Amino acid sequence: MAIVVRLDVMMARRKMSLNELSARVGVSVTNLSLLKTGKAKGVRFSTLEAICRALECQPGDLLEHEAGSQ
Amino acid sequence: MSARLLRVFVNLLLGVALGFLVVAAAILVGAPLLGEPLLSQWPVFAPQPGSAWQASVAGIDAAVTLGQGVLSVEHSGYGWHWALRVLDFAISGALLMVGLWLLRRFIGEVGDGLPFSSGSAKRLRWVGLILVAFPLWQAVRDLLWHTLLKGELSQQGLALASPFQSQTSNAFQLQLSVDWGFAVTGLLLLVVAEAFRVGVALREENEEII
Repeated sequence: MAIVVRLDVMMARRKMSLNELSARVGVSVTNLSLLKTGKAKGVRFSTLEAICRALECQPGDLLEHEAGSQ
Repeated sequence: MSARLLRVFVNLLLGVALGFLVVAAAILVGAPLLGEPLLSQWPVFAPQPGSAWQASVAGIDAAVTLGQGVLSVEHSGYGWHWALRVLDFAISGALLMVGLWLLRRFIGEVGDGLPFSSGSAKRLRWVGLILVAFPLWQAVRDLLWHTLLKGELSQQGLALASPFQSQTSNAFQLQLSVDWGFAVTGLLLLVVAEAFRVGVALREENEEII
């Protein structure tokens, strides 16, 4: 997919584990893991907002468009 | 009607159908052994409909026209007629039992709160296909009977014509004894099953959105 999720980068910058993020956001570790590895088909605005709040970042810090890839 | 009540109803229906099939099997196997005949019937159209009764009273003309009837055949022993009855019993019985069993499983899933699964959509589609297949089998069965009866009874002086032959002046035209209502219900179920399948795909896609 052309949209790449950079959740692992932001988590590393904030030194936050998947378990901690899961507890703060209210999304299961399994689903966050799917999102982190790019296996999710989509992400809801409400989930994106909760992750941005927990990681103190912007949606653009989490999502990136890679030109050329499909 | 609640899913629980439906489940009870289908269980009851399944039990009655099973009992009916056991009795029918016993009759099919036992009748030739006991020398008792089996009865088969088909609707027929008369070659030349005739008036059996007519009257005119105070401006009213009334008449009874005899145009159709029933061909009843009693057959005994283990001939081709018995083999056809056994074949009909096996195919119709299997379609009935499999259809009811799939319906029972489907209603069970609805009762458990899991109606939109790929399994339930498949089961609903199979029930629809069975309902469509049943009258088709009835038509094939009747055509087989007609072909064999025409050969045997014409030797005895009874002229019979198949449903698709043009009616001649002296032959009784055999009719198919088929209930097309099953096919219509089956087609409706197939449409519902397709809607279910789309619903299942939408739910699965929705689950992949976090």
